Amino acid sequence: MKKILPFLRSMRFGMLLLLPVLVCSVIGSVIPQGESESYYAETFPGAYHMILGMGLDRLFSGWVFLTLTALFSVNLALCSVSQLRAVSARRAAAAKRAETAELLPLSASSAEKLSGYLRRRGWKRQGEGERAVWLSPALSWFGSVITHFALLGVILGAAGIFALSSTADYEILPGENELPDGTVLRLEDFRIADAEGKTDYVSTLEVISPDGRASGIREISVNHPLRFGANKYYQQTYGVAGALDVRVAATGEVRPLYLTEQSLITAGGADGVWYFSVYPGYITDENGVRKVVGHSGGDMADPAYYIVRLSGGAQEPMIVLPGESVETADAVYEFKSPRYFPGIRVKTTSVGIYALLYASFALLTAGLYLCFFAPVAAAAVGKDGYAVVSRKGEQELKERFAAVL
Amino acid sequence: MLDILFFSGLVLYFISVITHFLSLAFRNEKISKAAWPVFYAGFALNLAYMIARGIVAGRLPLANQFEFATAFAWCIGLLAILLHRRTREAWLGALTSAAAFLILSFAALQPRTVSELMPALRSAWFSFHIGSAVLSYSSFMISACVSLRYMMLDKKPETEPGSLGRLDYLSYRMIAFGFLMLTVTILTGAIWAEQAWSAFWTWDPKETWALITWLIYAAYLHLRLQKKWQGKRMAIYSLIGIVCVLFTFIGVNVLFTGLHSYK
Repeated sequence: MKKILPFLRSMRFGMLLLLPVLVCSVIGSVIPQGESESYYAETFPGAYHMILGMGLDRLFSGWVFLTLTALFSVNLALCSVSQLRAVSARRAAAAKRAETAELLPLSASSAEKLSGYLRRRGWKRQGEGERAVWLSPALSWFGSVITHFALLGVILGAAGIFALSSTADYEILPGENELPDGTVLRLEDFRIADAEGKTDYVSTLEVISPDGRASGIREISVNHPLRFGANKYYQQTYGVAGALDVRVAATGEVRPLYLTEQSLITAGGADGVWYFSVYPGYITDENGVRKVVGHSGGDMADPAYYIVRLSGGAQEPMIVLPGESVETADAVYEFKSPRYFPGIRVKTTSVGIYALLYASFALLTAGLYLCFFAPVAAAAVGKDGYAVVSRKGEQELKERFAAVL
Repeated sequence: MLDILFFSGLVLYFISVITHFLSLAFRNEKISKAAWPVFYAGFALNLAYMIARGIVAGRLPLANQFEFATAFAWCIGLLAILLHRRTREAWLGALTSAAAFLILSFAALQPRTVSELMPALRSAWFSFHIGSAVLSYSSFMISACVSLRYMMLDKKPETEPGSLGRLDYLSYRMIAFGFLMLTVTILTGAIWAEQAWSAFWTWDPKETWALITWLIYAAYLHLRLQKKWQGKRMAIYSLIGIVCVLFTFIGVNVLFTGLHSYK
């Protein structure tokens, strides 16, 4: 154990782990991750068996990468603890080095000036001897410790998200949409451009949680998700839905429908409409026959529906335009302009994980700043000279002191 | 008008490279005195172009490869000027103006049309994330220039005592600053990605290569500060580092597609 622990916390071990992490990262960037088997067969015809067999298609969630990350976390944790324990020893050693360092010449008035400068910059004086030893501000000694612990926090936060977070994507059509967990998303409106015509995907909706709490009408858009309860709702994608009203002849009831895939629509009887798709445009040939053009789901400049009417056992393919109706014996199908609808991503993550990650991000930045721009140092100031010792910023401190003097 | 500004800046950077190298080759004080003002003029036009483009686009001009490269060249110029004012090193102009010229030349090869900012880029994090990336890449580039100078002087008998040490330290300081900025880039990018795409990290090629670059420079800093590596091998390391930075900047966009492919 005496040999293993120092090795596990050593920089050598950390570097040894970094190498395979780097190799994995390079491979993971060359081979697109998380695609379907057919994609790899098509893109890497000679190597797809190997890619799938070795799990290179899901490299970053594979056991090799996760083991490396776990070992790296152990290294980081042990290293951080040993650094924390070494802070006071490092301060004492630096003070001793400054005390015995060779002095650069300095006049008595300059010595006072330098002492005043150090005091103003938050340096702490140690002892009362003729050669005063000053240590850089207390926080600067913890820069490296803060950085390492923060990095550990980032890895733990990432692990928390990996293990505890879930996401699911839903097509949200106008009206109420019930999600599997009982949450209801009520879509009021969705637009893909703002008033000036600038692309802008905005859903206006209300979230009603399973216990009946409602978010109120809220707008969500790219970069502006909605947090409600344990979930976060993101504007993710959009699509086009065919829109029609079914007027039931017997009761006069009108049922609005939004369709995103092939569907059979009936009023209960054998007659009805087979809905295939909505197309962005159509042409009419010399015989007055309509033909759809473009891919279904594209920009709906001049939309047309492709349907088959089922009436009295006969099947009649038709191209129907918004505003037109199709009649059967028991219902009237009134086609309307197609509607854009949002794809909403629902993400569930604990608030604690967010807090850990954001705190770690802030500490990592602060720690690195302390490491490089508030370096640990000790200075000795005597009546006729001064010295400065610092592993990271000696030259810069000497320049700074020279400028003060 | 915009193009005139852009290409005038490019030409001035080129003249600056030539004059800086001539002044070094012939050790001519007069040419040296002319070289820096030319560089300043190129830098000013580079800035003027970015401001004009920003006004035309109605946003920060950092939204695509062209705009990033233009800002990258300008930032190299800014750091070079700041360093020159501090160190008065004559060689600095030759290598940094060459770097700024090459990056701006790369920008010139990209499409220059001003386009609307796509919804994913309309965020408060836009300026922090990309601004810090520009600063980071520029610092690494300056560090590489310093390291190149180190390699040129290394083992030359006429090298002034202490100058190699100064170069070594300067290269380290630029890497330290660049590393801090790269960290800010990655962290702000993660926060932004969570807001826009719902995930802090998606192993998108750009993200992955930013992480690779970060790990490479993290190793540099550990080797220097813990293992006391200095001098020539750190200079070589810095030069390897800039290759990685340039691959992250250019290679990833050319070779891979991903969430960062804003074309």
